[in-house]
Amino acid sequence: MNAALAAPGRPRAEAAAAGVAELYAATYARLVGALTVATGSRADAEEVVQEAFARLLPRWSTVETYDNPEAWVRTVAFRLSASRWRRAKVAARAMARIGVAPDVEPPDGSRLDAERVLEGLPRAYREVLVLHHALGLPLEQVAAELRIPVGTVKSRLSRARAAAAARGGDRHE
Amino acid sequence: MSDFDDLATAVDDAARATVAPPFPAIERRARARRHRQLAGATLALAALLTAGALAAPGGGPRSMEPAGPTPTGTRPTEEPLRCANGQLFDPARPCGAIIVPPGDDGAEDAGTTRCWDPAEPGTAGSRTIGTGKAGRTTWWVVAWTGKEGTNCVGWVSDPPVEVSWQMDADNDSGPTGALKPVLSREGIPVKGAADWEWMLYWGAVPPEVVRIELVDKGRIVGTLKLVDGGDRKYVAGTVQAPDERHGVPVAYDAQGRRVDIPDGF
Repeated sequence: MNAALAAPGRPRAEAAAAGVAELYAATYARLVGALTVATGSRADAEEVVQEAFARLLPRWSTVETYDNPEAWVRTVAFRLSASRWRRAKVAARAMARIGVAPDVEPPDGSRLDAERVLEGLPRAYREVLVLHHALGLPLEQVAAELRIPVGTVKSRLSRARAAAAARGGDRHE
Repeated sequence: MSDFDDLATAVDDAARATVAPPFPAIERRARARRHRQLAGATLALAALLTAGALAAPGGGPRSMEPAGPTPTGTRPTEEPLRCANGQLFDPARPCGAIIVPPGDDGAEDAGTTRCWDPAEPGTAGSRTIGTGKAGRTTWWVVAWTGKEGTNCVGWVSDPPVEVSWQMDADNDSGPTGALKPVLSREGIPVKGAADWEWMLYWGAVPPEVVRIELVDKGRIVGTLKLVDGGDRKYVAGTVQAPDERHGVPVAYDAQGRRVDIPDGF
């Protein structure tokens, strides 16, 4: 019985692997690039994008019917990244409470260019900036991918621009 | 706007500097993840079944099946659970993966959410997994694994545990954040809620607290839901303004006076 059930599953699994592998080859670098700029860490970006693709494998039969499977992977990656960030925040708070200084990562050369624009901006602002300005997604799609209202996307963009403009003025003085 | 034009260049530069690992590494990762899920669900449910038996009035094991409406009046489910092979789920005849009916939480693929029967051949532990409904619902038995196998959760819901969540887009790890069973002093699960903020705002607060607001720069950006745990109150972690997750929690009593709460509670 089990063998009978398992037999039809194998071609499906192989087809899924082929489909995901194709998407992976076409989009991995782009996704890591976006996440690197949004999160400020290449290591984190690679981790969450790989995890997103791992989660895509068992769901490929559903996701492949979507208009844009890459958007699904990107959404998962951004949410994983947000979750990791929250955990890190809680861990840092706990470490501070018990008097242990958190590890500070050395500067990552890959982030320097982006940091000039994004430095000091809250994570939420960085996300909308990257999705909207770097990837060119319309506001509605940014809202959908981050699961926030369009109005929130607009307000975050506005605040991010204001913050970046203020810093830009400082730099040029 | 030129700064933002640079963003696209930065993304392109970062992408060009990226070397993708071979795809089989992703496949191995997916397999490892599935194994962790199976193992985590088994361990968590087995542990909680044991705890539930110990906490039961009079001790001893008890049925996993609901005897009637929960204290909140919620029926356990409107739709029957089905096994992955389409058969109706029968607790007496475990069938592996279970399809959880679609929920109302907006998750696009809630209907494919699965939990795994710990009694699946090859796994140790419990004999059954109960019924539930995806979305904002009451579960009778919930078994989930968290990310990276670190947040294994699951509890016997007698009394039932009401869980509201916001799923990951991948929709298989259950609530995000560190979902933990909230136990009363007697070790009985307390009706509660969990969502993204659970990890940040979770724990007991003094019983006189009736309201907690999240305040950011003098502005209230959200409120936290409190649930009554009998001798204690618990912060459920539901932020009413989910797009504004920042803010300092400020607690008040019934007279509107501020109440000190543990830092980070």
